[in-house]
Amino acid sequence: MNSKILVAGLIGSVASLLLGYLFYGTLLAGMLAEASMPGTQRAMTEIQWPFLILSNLASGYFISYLFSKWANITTFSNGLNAGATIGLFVGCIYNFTYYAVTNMMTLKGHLIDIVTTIVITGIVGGLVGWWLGRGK
Amino acid sequence: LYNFKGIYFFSLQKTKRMNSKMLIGGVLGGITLFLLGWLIYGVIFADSMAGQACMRAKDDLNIPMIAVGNIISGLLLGYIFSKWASISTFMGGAIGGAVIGLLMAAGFDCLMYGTTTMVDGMKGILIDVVISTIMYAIAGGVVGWWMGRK
Repeated sequence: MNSKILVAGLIGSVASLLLGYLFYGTLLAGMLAEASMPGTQRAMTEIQWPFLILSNLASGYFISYLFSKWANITTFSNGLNAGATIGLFVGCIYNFTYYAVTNMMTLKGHLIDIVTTIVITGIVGGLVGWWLGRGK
Repeated sequence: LYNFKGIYFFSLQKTKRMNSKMLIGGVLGGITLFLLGWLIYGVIFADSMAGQACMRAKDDLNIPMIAVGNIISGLLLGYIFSKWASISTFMGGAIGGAVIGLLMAAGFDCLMYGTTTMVDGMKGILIDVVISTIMYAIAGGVVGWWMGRK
């Protein structure tokens, strides 16, 4: 794994963390709290930040690995499209499965999460693609 | 013009064949994940899964929705293997599937532990990441094998 892929993964991770904070921590916080079963979501003061950072690192490097090793994506627009596609798949997989086996959120909450995942992963994909194509 | 039409025709045929191969491969991967998930989460680890307050009771599980989630997982593997990775062997698919399963599960389990009260600490994360990696490796192997079939 070369330094370009490492930096691309890091950029994707930071973007994912910031966008996650913007969407889930501020813009959609009230709506998602209403849609969630009481007691299942941690309060802002109880968030386990090291695990949240690890989660975003895994997401960023997942996109970076896919784009560099397999998809050969090197532009913002191609990254945006591919990222949104991956976001659609991943959002549906986890939200449908969690809706099927838990009562943690209403169907409306899960649908909002799928759309949010598509938007965030699309932007992250765009940034990762842009970085991978820099200097070519 | 004739040659152009011929190339277009064969290109279209190839695309159709690739799409149907990807779809069938994805469904096969989804069925594999569904059966493995039933065996591992529904039978072997059934007791440890039942402790959470927000888990649905066994007779309240939405099985069709679980199946849809698994088919979409299989289609994700089929999409990546056919469109991007050109994977067409069981072993290549198993390795690709393991990488995808590892990164997706690590990301999602850490997210769930970081923001909800549903995951049972590091032990819960590690067990689920290992299980997901194994499940996706086997499903990836099946999808990869199907992609390489003539």
